[in-house]
Amino acid sequence: MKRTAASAVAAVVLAGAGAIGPTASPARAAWSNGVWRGHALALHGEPKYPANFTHFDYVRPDAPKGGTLRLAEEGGFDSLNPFIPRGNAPLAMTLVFETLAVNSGDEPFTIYGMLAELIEMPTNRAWVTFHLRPEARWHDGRPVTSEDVVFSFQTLREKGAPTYRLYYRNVERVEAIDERTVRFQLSTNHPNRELPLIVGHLPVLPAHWWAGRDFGAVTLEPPLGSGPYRVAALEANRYILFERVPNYWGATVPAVQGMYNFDRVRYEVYRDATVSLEAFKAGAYDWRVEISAKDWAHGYRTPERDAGVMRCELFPSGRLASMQGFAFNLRRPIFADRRTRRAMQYAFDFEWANRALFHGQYRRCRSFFGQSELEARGLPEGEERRLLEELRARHGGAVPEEVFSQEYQPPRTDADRGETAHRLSVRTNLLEARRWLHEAGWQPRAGDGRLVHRELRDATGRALEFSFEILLVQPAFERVVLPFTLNLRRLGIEARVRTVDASVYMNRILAFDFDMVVSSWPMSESPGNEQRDYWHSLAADQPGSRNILGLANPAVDDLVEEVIRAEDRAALVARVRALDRLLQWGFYCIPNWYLPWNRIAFWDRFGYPPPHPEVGTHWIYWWLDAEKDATFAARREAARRRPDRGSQR
Amino acid sequence: MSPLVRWSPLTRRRWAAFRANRRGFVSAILFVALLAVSLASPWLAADRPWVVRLDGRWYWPLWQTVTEADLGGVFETAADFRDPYVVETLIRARGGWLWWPPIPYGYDTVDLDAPGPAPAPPDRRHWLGTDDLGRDVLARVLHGLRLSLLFGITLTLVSAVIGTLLGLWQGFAGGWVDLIAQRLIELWGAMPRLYILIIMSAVIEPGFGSLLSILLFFSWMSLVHVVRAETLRARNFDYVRAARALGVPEWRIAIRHVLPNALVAAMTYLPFQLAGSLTMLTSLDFLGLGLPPGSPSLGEMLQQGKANLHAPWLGLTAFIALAALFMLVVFIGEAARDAFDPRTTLSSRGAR
Repeated sequence: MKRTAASAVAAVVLAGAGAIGPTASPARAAWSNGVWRGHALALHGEPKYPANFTHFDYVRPDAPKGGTLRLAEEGGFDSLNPFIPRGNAPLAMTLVFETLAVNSGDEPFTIYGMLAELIEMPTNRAWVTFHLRPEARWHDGRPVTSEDVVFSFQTLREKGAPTYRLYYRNVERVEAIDERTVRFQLSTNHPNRELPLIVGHLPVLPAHWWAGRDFGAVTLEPPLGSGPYRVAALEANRYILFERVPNYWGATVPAVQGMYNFDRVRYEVYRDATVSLEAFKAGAYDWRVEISAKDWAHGYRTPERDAGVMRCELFPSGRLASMQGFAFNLRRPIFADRRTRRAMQYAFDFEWANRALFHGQYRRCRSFFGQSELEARGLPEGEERRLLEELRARHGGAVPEEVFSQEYQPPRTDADRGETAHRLSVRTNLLEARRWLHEAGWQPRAGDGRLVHRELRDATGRALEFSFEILLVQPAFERVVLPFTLNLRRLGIEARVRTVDASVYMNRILAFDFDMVVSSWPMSESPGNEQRDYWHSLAADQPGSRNILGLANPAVDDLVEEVIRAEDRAALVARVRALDRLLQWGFYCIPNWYLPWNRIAFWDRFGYPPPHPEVGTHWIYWWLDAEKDATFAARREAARRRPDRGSQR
Repeated sequence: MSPLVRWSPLTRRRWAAFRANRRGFVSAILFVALLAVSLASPWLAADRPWVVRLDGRWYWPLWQTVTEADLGGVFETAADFRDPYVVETLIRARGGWLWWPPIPYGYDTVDLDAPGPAPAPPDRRHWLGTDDLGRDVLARVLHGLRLSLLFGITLTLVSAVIGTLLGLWQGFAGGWVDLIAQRLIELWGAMPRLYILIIMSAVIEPGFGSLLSILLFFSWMSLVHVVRAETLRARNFDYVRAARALGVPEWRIAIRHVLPNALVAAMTYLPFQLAGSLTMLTSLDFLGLGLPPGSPSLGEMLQQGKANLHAPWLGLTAFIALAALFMLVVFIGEAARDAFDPRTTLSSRGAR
């Protein structure tokens, strides 16, 4: 969780693996006397899995246990405390800790009890109560108590990453009712449907272990947890080895059935992507998510792969495809006009980039909630239309006219229809861009054709020049951005590209000191509070908020509040779609692309459940296949010795 | 005014010694040729034609801004001559013609029409293939060599001037001045320069000029020692003392009598200094901290070669270009060192 803010902007790459909720058992789940009592809690409606469920549909409940899985982490770590802003902790530290409840992967937003066996909540959502499982144990054998939960909540809010403060802002207090019952009192001033579920995501930390230790300090001492794994060995910035806890207390909890099958999980640290890939091919680790389209197409040409000993498979990566795009900083006068931003959409030739740079593996983003029922398609109808019309009546120009009359589609080029057709389509797009720029008040300067504004003035009183900087943190984006700047240059727009290191980048993002960056807006199937942080005008002036766009549109503000207040799924869907439309037609970013799959490369020693179209895949529920493993070494050796080794091109 | 321009017998003998060193002399010729070709690269490898003839008028797109509007099109910015609309519809269909440079790609021309994904292997269209943005590698190497050489030569000359003057001052003044300046230089030299460069390039927006000044921060030091040592030696020579006894002003003695001696030592050092400057620029570019993205740079091409192991033409091209360049420079340096060495120059046979 600590990394969400950073990864939203820094690791914007290429539609990552969806978060997989690792994951609980009263007999019945139901409302009675205005209070929900159950093994689970759904944001809207009822949980998919009944109280007597034995496992999630996307795992194999009787997956064999054992073996070692070797993985790679790029970057490095110097701390084992993932909850504080200082230091870098391995992402996998979540294997050591557990939360009160976990998400299921195949529902919009439902939590199932993990440490908790029973969740209670009244209709007005003024509080939520978790009853801990009596068998829940820390790795040292002591029971997990409600005091631990209270301790965790307070510690995280006081000393943890700022995200926790933000997340739990509206939790008024937490109290231990008895040894195993803990109640969170929620603020009723800010109706917030998600909050009880988010509270369920609270990592629970052992109060007795932390007594006498400084929570805010960077440490390499393996922390005590209650999760399926514990840290067995490590060397900072080199490797970390997790081993499965013998007699893990949670072995029978339904929400983790079929998961955590490996006895040992070892992460090797790599600082460089190329080295990491080569190490994988040399057999230094077993399982890898490929983020580069180019490496997916070219990087795995080995005899082992030809022989099927190394496998590269695409797994459908879940429903929702979030938006990634070149984000405008609306605080800059050059980008204030919607027509200017509209014009610039025409300068990005995605079809060409996909063909020439991405080997055709990506799809174009067109929605902030792509591939889900939340995506705005066609024309608005029913409740959605009513909402938008109401907003238009209230805010007038803040709701673009096109919202009612057109379906948003980013401009296209004919990159696949031959040289001339492609060039002509680019030209047509640029002419369209030129028309919009002209309308927005930009005109070419005599001599060099550079665009200057008819009315706007810069700080020195001269006509505003159309010149800006594209700030990058990943050099890999240069190859996408440079052709874009060439098209802009033809329009008379000067775009410079600058790649900076991660710390400079973060500082500039937090201070909103940039013109254009590559940004993504990770979304869940159940949009809620985070929408305020993304789009609300209050967040626009708050340094460090995720409204990096600087979006301040009264209609969007109203709609965001409506989304957060949505009382049932149908209302939520209509409101989110309306929001999607406002965002699409506001041209706040130039849409990039998403990957509808997870690209997984692995050595053929493992078994995995049949790919679930909505969940994607994750090693958490893979297992070591004893039969394949037995013959693996021999098969690999044979593949290496084949006479046609290396002949493939 | 400088005695080096008048061909003294000594100079002539040195030149003969340099020429006698076959390897060094051939390297020098090749280096000059390479320098000439790379300096001409903006005209040899460009995405604009040398000349366009249309409606009885001449256009010189390489030397003047020819906008599409000039040719009867729409955009008021420099025309894109790779666009078939410009070439076919605006020019050829109206009876005009154009003449392309031998390599019809600039260093930043993305070949949008290449059939396959980038990077593409060498073929008739791109003699050395394309990089992972679809830009012509040959054009980038030429432009890259030009930029590297210009950068390296400028850096070398400027640091030579600074280094020589400082060394001269130190050596000539001697005493406390020398002692203190030496210690300061030692302190300055002990700084981890690569890290400082990395930090500075994060703060300052890198460009040709800013990078030059950042590198200059450290590169001026290397010549100081050489010139200082020579000066210290020369200031007690008889003719210097004689000049002093005759009442010649100190600065004049320094320039007339001491500097030429020191320059000889400095000269032999220059080629190696050049090689050092090139390495520094290349390594900064390789790390992505050098010239701004999109600049033709050999370091960036090496980086691409590393990131695209399946496209060996990238790494090989950059490697061969750099290796050849360094080899030439080092051979020239060796020959120059031998030529200036009194033991080889004064022996009757000259150099090896």
